[in-house]
Amino acid sequence: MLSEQELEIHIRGCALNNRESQKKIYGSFYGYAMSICHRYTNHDEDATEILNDGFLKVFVEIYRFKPAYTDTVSSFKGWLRKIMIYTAIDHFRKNHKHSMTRELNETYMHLPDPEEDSISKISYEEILSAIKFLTPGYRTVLNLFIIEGFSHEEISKELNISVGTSKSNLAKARKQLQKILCQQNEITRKNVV
Amino acid sequence: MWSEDINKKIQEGENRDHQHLPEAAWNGMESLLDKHLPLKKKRRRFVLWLLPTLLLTGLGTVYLLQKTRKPDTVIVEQSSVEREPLKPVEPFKPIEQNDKQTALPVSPGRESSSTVTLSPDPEIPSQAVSNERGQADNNRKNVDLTTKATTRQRENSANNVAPVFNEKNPKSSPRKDTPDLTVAANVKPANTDAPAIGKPMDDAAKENIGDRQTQNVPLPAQPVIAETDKVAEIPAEKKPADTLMTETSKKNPTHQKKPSFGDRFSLHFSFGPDVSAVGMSNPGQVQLQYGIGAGYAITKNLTVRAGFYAGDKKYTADSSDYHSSYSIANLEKVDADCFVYEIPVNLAYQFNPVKRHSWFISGGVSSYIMKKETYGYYYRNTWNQPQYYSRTYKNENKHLFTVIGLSGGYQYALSRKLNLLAEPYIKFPVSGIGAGKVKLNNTGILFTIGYKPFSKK
Repeated sequence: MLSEQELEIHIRGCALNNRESQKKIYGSFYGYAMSICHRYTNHDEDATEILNDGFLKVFVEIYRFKPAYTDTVSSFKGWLRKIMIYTAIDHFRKNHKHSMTRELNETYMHLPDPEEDSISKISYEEILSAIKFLTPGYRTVLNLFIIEGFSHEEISKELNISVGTSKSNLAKARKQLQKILCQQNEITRKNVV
Repeated sequence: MWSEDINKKIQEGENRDHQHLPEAAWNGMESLLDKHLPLKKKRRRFVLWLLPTLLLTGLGTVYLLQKTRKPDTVIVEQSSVEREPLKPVEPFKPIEQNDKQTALPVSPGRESSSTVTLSPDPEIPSQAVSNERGQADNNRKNVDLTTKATTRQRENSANNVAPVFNEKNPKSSPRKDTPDLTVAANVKPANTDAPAIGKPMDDAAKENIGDRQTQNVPLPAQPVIAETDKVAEIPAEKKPADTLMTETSKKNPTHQKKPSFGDRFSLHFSFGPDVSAVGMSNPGQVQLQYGIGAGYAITKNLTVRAGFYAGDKKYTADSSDYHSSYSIANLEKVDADCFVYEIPVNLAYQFNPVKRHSWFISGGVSSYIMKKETYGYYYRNTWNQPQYYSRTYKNENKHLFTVIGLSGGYQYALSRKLNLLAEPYIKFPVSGIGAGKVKLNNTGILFTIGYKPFSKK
């Protein structure tokens, strides 16, 4: 990971379209950006596409970047995260136009509710893999609401759906994720035992 | 809450995630950048190599074409024209004197190919030598005045001399168009006032001729004039042109033709490296400057030149040198990239050339038209953190006759029409240039190809 001074130098270089600076920033934030993109798609190729499109937007607009607070690295990470999320949303809108309405007619799995303290035993990787099992619509709404902190109004505006649809999809996504996590946890427990 | 737990887990996982960059991933990103954010330098390098290559190719082609043509006649001092010297007139052979009078038919229509010889006076050359006809023909081409004098004299002789019949055959009549001129031997001309060549006969002389006709007295001999004699007797001012030219050139060997418009007017194509800098330190990147121009030679040594050039000017300015209309707090430096049209007007003095080589100095003023200005501002924010901001201006600034240029150089004349010039220069403004009103100095070398399209060979 780049230090603060190195990041500032390379930001200037990127503003002047310097390839070396662009490669440095791309390499330093590749893992962080890819983990965000992986939450919005279950295919590696789609994740790479979202990642590259997002970084292209970063390099085009990097001359406008101004750190919101003293820590340039944290500020840049937050700015990068927002760009990746909006790029993922664009990707979703482009490829899954009808998935939201389709999901309204779907019935979700009937699985027992998980125990509340089981989440603490689940790792980050397991959560990521569980999110991937969700349908695209559920996955997007869940990511935006729970992880990114979007409101239902913002979600409805971004995805061109109603607030009710957003709430409905979130409820369904949550239930589905919980069940998937419990199922994984149970399988793991059984394997251990 | 369950949601908060998941959110926390994910954030921890993302911050911890340091995947190594796979090379294939960067290759895909790089191709995307080349498509949407291409590097401009590569194109410039291509132009940098393409232009000189094209110029050299064109130059070589023109040079070869010039070489295959006949050598251009350079204006030189008009030396004495060497014409075929006039051969001295050979003395006429006297006609054998007998009782019979011979008449040689003469056609007045013929100019000078034949002559009639009359020899009343043995002192006067009496016979045109046939071998002089060839010489007369050769000289005729160079002697316009001679022809005129001959024509005038012939007219006079036709008017003043009447045909004379042969005494022995008075019935014989002369041909109408070829009057016979017969003169008895040893008869001195009765009329010593025979008209001089070229002068009309006066009335007294005419009366004498009329008396002779009635008396059937042969006419006084008109001196026989061969073509060569005619040449010799023509007044000085009517001498043939070549003789005149010879004398003129002897008097004034440095006589020159006045140069025409085609020799004065020339077109130029120029290109070369250019470096910009604010002040004398911190020069910017070397950029290519190129353009076209025209020149007109007022005198042999003075030439007025004007042109139209284009090129990029890249430089860095300190905050103290940059004076913008809107202020930027805590400005540290400014990187500038400007595309500029330049219109110079110069007066050049050329020292006398040595063979094909010559040197010159030039001075003048230029106008800058700023087509596009991109500035990158490096400054610090409230928390003393380095910041960067970029801004672009288009067609916002024009500076007419505000840049003074001085140059000197070397010129090589490939031919009468084609010249090559190398001209190092410096330029400095009298007022601020661009959005930042910086004192932008420039230096470089301009390579020029000069061509005179209207110059005659």
